[in-house]
Amino acid sequence: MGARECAIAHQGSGGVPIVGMPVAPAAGDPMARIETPFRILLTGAALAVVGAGIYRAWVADAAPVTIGVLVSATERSGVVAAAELAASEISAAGGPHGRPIRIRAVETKGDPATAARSAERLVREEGVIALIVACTSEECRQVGRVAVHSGTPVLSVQPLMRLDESSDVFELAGGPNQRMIPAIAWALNALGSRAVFVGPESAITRVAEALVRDQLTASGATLLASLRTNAGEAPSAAGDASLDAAAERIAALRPTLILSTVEPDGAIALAQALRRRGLEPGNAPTLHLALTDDDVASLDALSLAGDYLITTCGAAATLPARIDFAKRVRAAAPTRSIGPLGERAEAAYAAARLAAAAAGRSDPGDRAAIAAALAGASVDGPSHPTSIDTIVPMAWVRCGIGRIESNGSIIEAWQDDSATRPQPWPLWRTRETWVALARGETNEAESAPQGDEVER
Amino acid sequence: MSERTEVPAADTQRTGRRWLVSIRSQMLLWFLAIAIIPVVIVGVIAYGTASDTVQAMVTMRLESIARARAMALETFAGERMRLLRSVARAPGLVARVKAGPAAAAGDSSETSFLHAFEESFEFHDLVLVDATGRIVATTRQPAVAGTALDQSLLRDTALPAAIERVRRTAEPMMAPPDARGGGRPSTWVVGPILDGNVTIGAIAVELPQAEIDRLVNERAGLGSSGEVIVASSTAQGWLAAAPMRERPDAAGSFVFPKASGVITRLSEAASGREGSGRSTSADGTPVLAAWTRVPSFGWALTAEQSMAEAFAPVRSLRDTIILAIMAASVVALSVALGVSRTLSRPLGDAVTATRRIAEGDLTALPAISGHGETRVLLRAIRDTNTDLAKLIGRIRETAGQIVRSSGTVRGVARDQDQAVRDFAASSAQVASATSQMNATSRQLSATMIGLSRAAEFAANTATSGRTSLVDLGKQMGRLNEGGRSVATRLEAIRDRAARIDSMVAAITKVANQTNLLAVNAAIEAEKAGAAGHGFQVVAREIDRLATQTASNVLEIEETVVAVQQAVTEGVVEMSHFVDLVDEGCGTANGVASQMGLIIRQAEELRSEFEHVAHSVEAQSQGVAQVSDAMSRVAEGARRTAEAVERSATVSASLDDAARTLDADVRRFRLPEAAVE
Repeated sequence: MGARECAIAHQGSGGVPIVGMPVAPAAGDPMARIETPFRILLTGAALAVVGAGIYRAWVADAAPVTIGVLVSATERSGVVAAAELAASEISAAGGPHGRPIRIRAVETKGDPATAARSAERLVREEGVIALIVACTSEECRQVGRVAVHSGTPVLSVQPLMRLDESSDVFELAGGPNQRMIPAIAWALNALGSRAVFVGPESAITRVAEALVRDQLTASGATLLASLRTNAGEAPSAAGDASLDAAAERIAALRPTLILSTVEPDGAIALAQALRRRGLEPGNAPTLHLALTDDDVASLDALSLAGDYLITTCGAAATLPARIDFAKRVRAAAPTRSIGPLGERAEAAYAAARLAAAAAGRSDPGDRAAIAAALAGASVDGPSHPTSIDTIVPMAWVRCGIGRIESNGSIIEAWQDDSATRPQPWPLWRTRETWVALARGETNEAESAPQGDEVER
Repeated sequence: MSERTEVPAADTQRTGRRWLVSIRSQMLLWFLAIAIIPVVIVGVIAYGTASDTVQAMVTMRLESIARARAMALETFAGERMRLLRSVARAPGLVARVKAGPAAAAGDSSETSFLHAFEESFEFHDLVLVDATGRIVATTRQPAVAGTALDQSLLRDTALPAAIERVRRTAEPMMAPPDARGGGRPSTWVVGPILDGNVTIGAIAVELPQAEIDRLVNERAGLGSSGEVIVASSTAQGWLAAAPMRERPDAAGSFVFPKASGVITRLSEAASGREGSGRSTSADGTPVLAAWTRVPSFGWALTAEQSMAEAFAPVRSLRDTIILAIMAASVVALSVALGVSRTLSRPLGDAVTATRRIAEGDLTALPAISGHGETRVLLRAIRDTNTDLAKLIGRIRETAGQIVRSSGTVRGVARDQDQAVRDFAASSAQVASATSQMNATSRQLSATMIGLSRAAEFAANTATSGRTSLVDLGKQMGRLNEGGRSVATRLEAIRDRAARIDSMVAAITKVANQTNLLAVNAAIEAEKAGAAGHGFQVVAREIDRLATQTASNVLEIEETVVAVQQAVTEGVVEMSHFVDLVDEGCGTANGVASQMGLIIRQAEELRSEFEHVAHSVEAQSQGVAQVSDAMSRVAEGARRTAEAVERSATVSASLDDAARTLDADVRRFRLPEAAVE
């Protein structure tokens, strides 16, 4: 009995209260006009709305898919920011299987052991589906071992020289046939054929030196000397005496082209030493084989003005797509100090998208399936598409050459017609020879079919 | 006139409403609702879910097909490139290139080798070029051997640039597609010929279009309308790179219309964005599609299937659901009609019986029909009819009795009303009188309190006066003692003065004797002559002194007499003063005694006054209580009067109700038994 059906008192005809009389519904009560069927329908509709809300909340509450990012230095914060931008865009679009993407970034500080531990922790504790790596070659090797052991795909934005031949380690920065071979070919054709090679003792130097020798030999050019500096892969000290000695030797040889794998800080010192000895870009330009536009953005560009470097995402810094990309990255993290946003950052952005796309095509909990789905995958990068080859776990890369301006900008000097299929081991030597060279198990003087003596 | 036209309309409306709320219509509606709504809900959900599922499955299948086709093409190209890598140092080829075109012309074994190589790998053409850009050999046009590449028919193709690049990089590559002679683009793979580390030439093979077409046009899983499209971006637009299902000659000739969804898909794929979803085909047909890129060939690839075919199972499901809804509706209506009929007939009898009862006709009892609850209902109505008839009969009697009783009650109420009114008036008078008494008592009490306070004040004042009088008596006693002391001292002075007098007499006597002595001395001195001259001077001086002393003594005597006289007067006056003081002390003591008496009486009077004031206060409170009691009595009387008035009103209402009830009950027609 509702309140309307059993009133406490009702005014009788004689004005005397009569207790317990049923009362008719009030004329103004809206509920009284709603018939029972409609009420049931309304209740059903309300339950449906509530159910839909709960379902949406449940869907929205889906656990995120985590991607790990390993960077060796804080200067590479652009890599992390770019990966986070990709994650936020993918999440905003729904994410793989309706799950958002989360980025877990760790700084390895250039220490391979730290990199390995961090990778282990990200895989075991954070359950990352993939690792994006922007570290030194040795750090990448250590991370690669952890990843291979756990079946986690690794996407490296640094050239690895394929020291680890795991099919789970994907290289986005390009291999020798995509970067160095076209760049050296262009340099020999456009800059000069009396070349000197200089670089520290490292895997990339050994491979680059062999490539230079092979290409010079193939094109009939001359390698005047191959010089080693003291510093290894770690940044060379500005006061490194070996750089001065190398500059002295280069000045004596009077080359028309200097091919260098000297790392960023050493490159500045070497360039200054060369300038002091009268070797200007006008008469002996340097093609930096190990620098990227990210490095140049954080260096004293004036010392390197007139030199050249390899670019893989369009040399023109004023390219609208790259400017838009930089704006998007900085807008996504307005309060954070973000480093240069060059090809490494673009590669990290593409890597995050590739990992998310692979997770979307497979079970996010199955890392092996994700690694398999990465083969042949293709995504739209900030300035160019990035495609993983179906056979080799490397991306197709379009090589270009940029000239460094005094204000740090890169002016496009040349760009290849199309992207090049990755081929880790150039035809000039056998695969075993390349691997031995990269690992330092043999030196170029021993392995070179012909060539000059290596000066150390 | 207007009423005449409105009444039929109202009747029609009422009849319509009645039909709508009737059991039959309600049951029909509810059966339909119960049968159809779940089916509709399930059908809609099933249809939506099936649509989504089918779309997801088809797009997933299309994605898989697109990726499979792209990977097949990539693998095909990759294998050919690996093949060229593997033959880069093949001694036969190296020797062939080194030997040059002239040597090759007569070497049938080398030509056979090249043909065998071409046939083994199903190349369409094979060209060997040396480091200078001269064609060393070709399987399709042997005659051009020895011709420079840039002077041959191949000069306008992408081959020269590709060979130059391979020469520099020593890596195999695919030449960009070209449309040699305006026909279908050729696809060339170029690899280096290495002699040691030196690139001495290049080998170019044209990939077989038929093999590429076979890879592209593998339509397994695409149904009857599915299609895999590969296209390259050219100056004219997106150009088909392989035959299509409906356009076998599309390769190299068909440019996709710009407005079609195919262009969007191909552009997305070329920019690296793989995807899937709804789109339109080249001829505008809605399709589901997936797209990706084929980097080796520089193509965009899309797989599509018409939505009509893809959603055919869903449409079938929809038709089934509609049929199910219709069948459920028919079944529900039939069941509803049957059930409602079994209910509506006995309920109609019940309604008729109830309506008759409502109209007051209790003479006829309803017939019992139907089953179950409806039968019970009719029986209950019948029992109700019988009981109601009996009840109405009793009510009639009771109503008459009530009417009579209410008349009596009204008379009693009138008497009570009068008595209560009188009582109320008396009570009011008593209350008024007690109120006045209360006021008077309060005034008297206030007066007595004032008197008590005045007596207390007088007693306090008298006490203060008596204290002052006692102090005055003490002061006068001390004054009397002082006076007596002065009188005593004056007596002493007078005695001393008397002794001074005697001393003056003695001095006078001494002075006289001295004077006599001086005279004697003078005489003697005179006798002595000159010798006594000095003595004579002394005698004269002594005489002068005696004379002066006698004079002074006389003055002292006079002064002493005067003093004695004054002292004597002072003693008398002081004695009189002492007497007066003694008398004043006695008077003050008497006054003080009288004041003490007055004080005692005033204190006694004050306590009496206070006692009276307390009594008056108590009396006043009693009067106030009486007054309050009388007020309550008056209020009670007023309420009693109102109750009596209401009782009279209720009695009147009861009388009216009883009369109305009697009138209402009288409209019932009762069976004879009930009337009796």
